[in-house]
Amino acid sequence: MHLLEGKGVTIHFGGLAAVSDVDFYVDKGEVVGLIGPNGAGKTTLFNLISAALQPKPGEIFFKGKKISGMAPFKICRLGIARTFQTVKVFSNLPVIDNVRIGALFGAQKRLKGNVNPEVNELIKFVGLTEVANTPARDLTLAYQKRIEVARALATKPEVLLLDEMMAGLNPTELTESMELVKKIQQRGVTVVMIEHVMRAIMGICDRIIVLDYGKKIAEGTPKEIAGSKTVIEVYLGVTNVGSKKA
Amino acid sequence: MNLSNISWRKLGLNAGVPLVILIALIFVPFYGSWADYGITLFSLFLVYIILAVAWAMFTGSTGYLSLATAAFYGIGFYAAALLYPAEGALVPLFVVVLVGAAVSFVLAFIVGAITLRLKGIYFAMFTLGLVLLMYQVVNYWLISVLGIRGIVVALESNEVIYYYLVGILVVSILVAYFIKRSKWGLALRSIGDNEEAAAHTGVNVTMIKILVFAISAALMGAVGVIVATKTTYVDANTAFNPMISFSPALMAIFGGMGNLYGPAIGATIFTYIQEILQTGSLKNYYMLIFGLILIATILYLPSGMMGLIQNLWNRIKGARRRALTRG
Ligand SMILES: Nc1ncnc2c1ncn2[C@@H]1O[C@H](COP(=O)(O)OP(=O)(O)O)[C@@H](O)[C@H]1O
Ligand SMILES: [Mg+2]
Repeated sequence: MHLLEGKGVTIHFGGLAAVSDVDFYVDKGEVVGLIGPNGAGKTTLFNLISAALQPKPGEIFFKGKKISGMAPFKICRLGIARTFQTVKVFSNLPVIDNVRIGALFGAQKRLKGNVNPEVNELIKFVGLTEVANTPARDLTLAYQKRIEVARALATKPEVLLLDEMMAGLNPTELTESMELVKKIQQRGVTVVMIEHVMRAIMGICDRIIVLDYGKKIAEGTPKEIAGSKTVIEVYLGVTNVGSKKA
Repeated sequence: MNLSNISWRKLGLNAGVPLVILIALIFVPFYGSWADYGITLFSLFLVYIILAVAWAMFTGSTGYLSLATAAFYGIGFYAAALLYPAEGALVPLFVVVLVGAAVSFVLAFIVGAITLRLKGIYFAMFTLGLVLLMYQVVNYWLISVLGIRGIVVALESNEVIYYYLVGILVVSILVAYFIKRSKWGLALRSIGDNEEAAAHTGVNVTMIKILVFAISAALMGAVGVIVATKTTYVDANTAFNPMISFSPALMAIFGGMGNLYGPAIGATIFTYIQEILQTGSLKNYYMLIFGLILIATILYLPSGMMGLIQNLWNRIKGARRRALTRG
């Protein structure tokens, strides 16, 4: 049984099939990359998994249990957390409260005593200790993205969906960000990441899924994907791999 | 660090100021010759403070602009009209207060479940629509079904009315305080900042919004019951007056909603201005003046009077600290 699995997942916006009959799976402990040109349907697939949208038709399973049709907050409490491509921090709240909300309202199996120690640990984990009491709106985009990561981790997820966490980062930040994903994997969290930065994708992912026009067109190890003719034609060929950094 | 002097002093201040105010309020009816006017004026303060605090409890943090205040307040009026009529009360007054609160709570819960999916201006319009709908339905029921225009409610003494209002105020402040300090308060603020992100962070946004909306409505319903025993004549015009939806909201915005004192201060100031203007020759200018002050507030004091006071206080503290470190 896969940790996360989708069968025939489809959604239309008007006449457009944003995600079309996609089968996918994610196994425990993996880092899975989700790539494809802009508009391929990657974010929409995250929206479907996190229940911001409902597949029609199609089904999504988490640990063998059907989760399509549930409310987003339930999906989160079950153990699937996410970040957003366009950051959605709680801008008027300080970093610490952004993360605290995740700890207080996420997976509810554990005892709800004082969440401060774990909140502070997560803030340190993503490197935001110095700005812990600063309102999120006063921080740079790179910092806000890290707030989202800490907030998502605070919900104690088994699967973390990262949507273009590395977009717009400078080379130093990019390296830090790649380290962060590896550390998240070491915490025992399974990661699915949407990313355009090939260095990151090829460097961290165990497996890659390629979407194009809503369809899954390839799947495999970074090596297989880098050597796949179809992928090179529809995706890698279009953008210049070597120079694509930010 | 948790048990440092500072936090104890804060706690003392947190409980101390409200306690002093409460004791002062309890003694208002005993101030000699001024007492009769004083008790009426203070009752009016309390009515608007409760409505403003209850309104800010929901709208202040979620940003959902509710204009339904008059609908719930009016329900309180009719709870009094039906259970506490002049020809003989059916139940004790405190039961009527509980019924008014409960009916408002249930109606708000249902309305909330339907409308809290609406965003921004649509929610505001719907809640105002609810007031107009209640007005029409109740008017129709009174005139066409019962064949009457209004109902006379048993008159209560000024003292009874006043102490009931003090009681409802205490409950309102405690409820607002505990919501604000609890994890639900944090959740409400996260909803105000980014509802979608809140939902994906495990917050049951629908449930929290509906519950807090209903709790605030219950307080409004309770006030309505007591005001009806003062007004005594209840018809749809007095019960479902849209001004009751606007005034407390504007008072809370003027006072500032980042803080529990804000709505209370805004309500006190505006009720007083209203009293002065409405008894003098400027009667007709009240709404105009109210509106101008409000526009100025929104433009120049985005966090209201309390925000201004807090800013000044921080500046004084900052200046003192600088002086101390230098000296
Ligand atoms: N809520 C929506 N309503 C209408 N169209 C949408 C919506 N969300 C996404 N789309 C469309 O679906 C397609 C896939 O979008 P998206 O999943 O954001 O792509 P990606 O993340 O791969 O760049 C795009 O054509 C986009 O315009
Ligand atoms: Mg996207």
